Amino acid sequence: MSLLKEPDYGTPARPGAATVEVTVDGVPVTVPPGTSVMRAAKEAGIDVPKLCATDSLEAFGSCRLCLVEIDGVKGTPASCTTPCTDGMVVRTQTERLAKLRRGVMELYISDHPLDCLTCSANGDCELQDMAGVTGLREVRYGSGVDAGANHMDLPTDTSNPYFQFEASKCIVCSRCVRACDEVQGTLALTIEGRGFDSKVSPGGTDFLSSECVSCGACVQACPTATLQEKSVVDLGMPTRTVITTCAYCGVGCSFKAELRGDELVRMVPYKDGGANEGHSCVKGRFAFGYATHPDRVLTPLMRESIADEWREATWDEAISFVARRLREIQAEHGPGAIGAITSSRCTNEEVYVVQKMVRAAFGNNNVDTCARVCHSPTGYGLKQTFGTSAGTQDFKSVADADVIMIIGANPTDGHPVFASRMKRRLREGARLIVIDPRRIDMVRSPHIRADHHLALAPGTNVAIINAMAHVVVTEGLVDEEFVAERCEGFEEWAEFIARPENSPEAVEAETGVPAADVRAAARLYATGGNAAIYYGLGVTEHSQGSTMVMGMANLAMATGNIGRSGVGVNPLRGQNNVQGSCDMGSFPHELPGYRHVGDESVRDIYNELWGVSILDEPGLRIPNMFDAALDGTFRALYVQGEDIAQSDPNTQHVHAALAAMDLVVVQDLFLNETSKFAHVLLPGTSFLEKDGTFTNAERRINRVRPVMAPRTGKHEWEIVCEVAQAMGYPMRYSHPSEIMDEIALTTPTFAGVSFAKLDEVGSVQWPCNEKAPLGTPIMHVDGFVRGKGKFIETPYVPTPERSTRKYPLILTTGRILTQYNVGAQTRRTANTVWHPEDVLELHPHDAEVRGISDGDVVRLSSRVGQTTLRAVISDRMPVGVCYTTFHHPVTGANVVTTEHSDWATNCPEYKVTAVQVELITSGRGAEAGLAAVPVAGE
Amino acid sequence: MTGTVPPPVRLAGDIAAQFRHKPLDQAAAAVAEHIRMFWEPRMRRALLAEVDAGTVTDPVVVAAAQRLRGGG
Repeated sequence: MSLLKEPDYGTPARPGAATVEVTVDGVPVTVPPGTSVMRAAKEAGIDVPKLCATDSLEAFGSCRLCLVEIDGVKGTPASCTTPCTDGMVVRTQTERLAKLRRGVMELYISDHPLDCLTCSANGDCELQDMAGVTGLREVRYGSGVDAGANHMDLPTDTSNPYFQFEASKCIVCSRCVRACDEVQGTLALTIEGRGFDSKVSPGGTDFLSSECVSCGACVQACPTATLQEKSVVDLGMPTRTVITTCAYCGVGCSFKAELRGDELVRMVPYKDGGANEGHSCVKGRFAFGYATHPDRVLTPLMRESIADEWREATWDEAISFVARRLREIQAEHGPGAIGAITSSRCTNEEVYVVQKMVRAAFGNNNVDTCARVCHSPTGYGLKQTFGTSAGTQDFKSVADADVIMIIGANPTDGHPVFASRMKRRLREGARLIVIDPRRIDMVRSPHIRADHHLALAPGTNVAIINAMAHVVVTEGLVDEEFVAERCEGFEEWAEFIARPENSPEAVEAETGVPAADVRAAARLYATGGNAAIYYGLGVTEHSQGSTMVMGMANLAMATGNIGRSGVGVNPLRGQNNVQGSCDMGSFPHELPGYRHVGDESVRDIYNELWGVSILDEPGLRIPNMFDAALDGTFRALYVQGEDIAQSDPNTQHVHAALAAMDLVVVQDLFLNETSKFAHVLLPGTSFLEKDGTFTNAERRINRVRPVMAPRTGKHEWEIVCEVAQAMGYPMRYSHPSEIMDEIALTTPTFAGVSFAKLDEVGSVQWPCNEKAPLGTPIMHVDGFVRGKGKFIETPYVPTPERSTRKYPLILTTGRILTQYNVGAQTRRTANTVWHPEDVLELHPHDAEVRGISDGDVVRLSSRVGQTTLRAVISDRMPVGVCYTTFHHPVTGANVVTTEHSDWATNCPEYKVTAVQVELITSGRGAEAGLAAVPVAGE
Repeated sequence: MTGTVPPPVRLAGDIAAQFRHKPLDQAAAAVAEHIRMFWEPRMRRALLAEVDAGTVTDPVVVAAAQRLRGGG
């Protein structure tokens, strides 16, 4: 399509029924109470001139361009700040208003450079537009440098890698400041000075050094060229738009990819995107340069042995080789000797064909997905308790929450766009409980302070959630009506949870959290109104990850916090399509739609359609594949878009398993750590080349539309189909929409989904079928998917990973805002300016007793490996706990993580590793990351 | 420690630990059911072989193995 310019209504929509009737320039219009005159006018098809107003921000009333006349009202009120009242008669165009507006514009233009023809915003400048709309023909005060005192010699701040701040063009409308406050919630910008000296400032420093998180909200809000993407400055204004979906976290933001020809100029968050509603973060907004990075592999690569050099191959040669070797290995070692891993960074359609290839062409169920190492406990726990493996709410629901409980998640870093929604609600007065060993930003940030921060010892989640449930049950805080009507197993569970060993006092020594704090938090959760749980990998990546998910579900059911807006149990999914990759049957025990392979009636659906006989036994999970590889019974692995050699725990074990295989096939954008063990690399496509769908953490199925043709010459679903065909199994589609049609045909929760519907309505949240043709934003409203919600006993079992004299600290891992997972994408963007290396956060006390200062290079060792990192001294950590990220392969944080995993799903216990930290080199000059090695012999 | 306990034995022990608060027969039934639902057959065979070899000492795992063998 041509460049899409979304309508701007000037002020935000107000909720409720349209009951207020007004007349604007003779046009009647009916709007909800609280709607501004400006918005009502726009809804009547009338644009009122404006500069400081935009519909993502509350009205400000500073520019005085939007003045109107209202019958019975003196003067000329600003239409943006004036709410409609019933019967109001408004005029937006009169001689008096025209004169006033021209006067305002004269003043603006008198202090603005008149370089429109060479300005980067030429054609996309609201100041320019308003000069035209108001009929400005002269500036009586002079203009530019002739106008006396002005701001035109202010310097341009180019410190941010992605946008510039050209202060000389600023009209001080405060849209950027308000966007930072209201939309992003960071409050990094301010208006510095008074009167003529007023100017926008990122806190008295430059943008890069400021608290700015580069979300781009200010750039989007700016009506002039003042805050402008550098890509627009360099390339010029885009000319066409493709609506698509971000490829980073599980929020799944919708974006307008804006191009000039085939060149992507910028990504602008889409206001109609259900997940993000016009907001973005630094990754989705700016960090897309990896798609055209010179490191991209665009031609298939092959080699006989992993000791050989890579050589380029044709697609036919590579695919034939893969198919032949897979069949040879099966012939020699049995049909179960091969398997595949699907990627949460690939589309539903790309994932679906991989699991189909495994089940139909490989003839086994040895398919797993990277959700194994992140949210597989969510799938297990929520299915057991509620009946389906997904979060209960849409993102909008948080606006109705009265109490927000964040457990083991760091939304401002991991899910920043959702965090902004959450912060908005908290600024409105919702109460906050944070359960996390670290003092994450949400504990205390501008205008937000957690009511309770339960800084528990890593590994004691279940003890805490049980203690909270104990308080609810023993203090009479159970929603008995909800439990009686909607749930089962309550009596047995209540007897278990009320036992003394589950009391806050009994677990205080283990968790490190004062019992009084746990009791207070439990009372707030149970009695504070709508209470919503949001959780992340700090819940799942534990030896009791699944138990904790069930424990949270128990607590939500006991207090009746399920089945309406503002409540629920909500996983914040890590990758953009984790939900989708799980939905698509990527787990070795489940066919699409979370239906067990042992269910004959389900197998029959696929057996008939695919013409095969699907095995009725589960296949191998990823860690099982590694174990079986070392046993010699698993010999070939097809890896779609996951760098298991970097991301999976106990690197030594993973590397040994990969090295033991006869064939490793990697389908990816880049040569990565896993490809060091690969025999074939089949080049993949970036999200800008994909055509399909992603499903985000709120079960929202969004279209991913191709911005450019596959740079590799082949779509990823085509590669998989051709491998299957070369293996002798016919698997043909002419378009990815046909794959979705097959998913809809065979999966009840997707029955109503098609590309055509998504193109028509934008997005839908599954279940989407005959009962819910437009999807299901909130689940379990009238009943649970499994019928009755099931209370399940959740005994606390301490992790076997304990600190010792040799390894006295506990390491926990996570991610930061500017980098993403193994960093394959973000390390190839300018985001490295914020995070050039992984660091080890260490409490001042733990640092001091080891003689470690900020910036020193330290050795981090566990019983399975060691690496070196730079130390950052931080009191965000409790004493005895340290923290790092795994974005950089050179530091290889997973060389120290262990084999421990969630008992139910084998999700690795990334969050608890006993370690020691020792000083290697003092000072910032030393180099880190040179010694990621396993401990020999262990 | 890595490598000192065969993975199926370690993993079965992890599952058993979650049900140890229940009577032995209930715990064994739960462990057997979980393994039946989620384990690939070669892992089940490997576990049973370890039980046969007498290397498994966890009574819940041993009882669960009997159920897996007997289909109970």
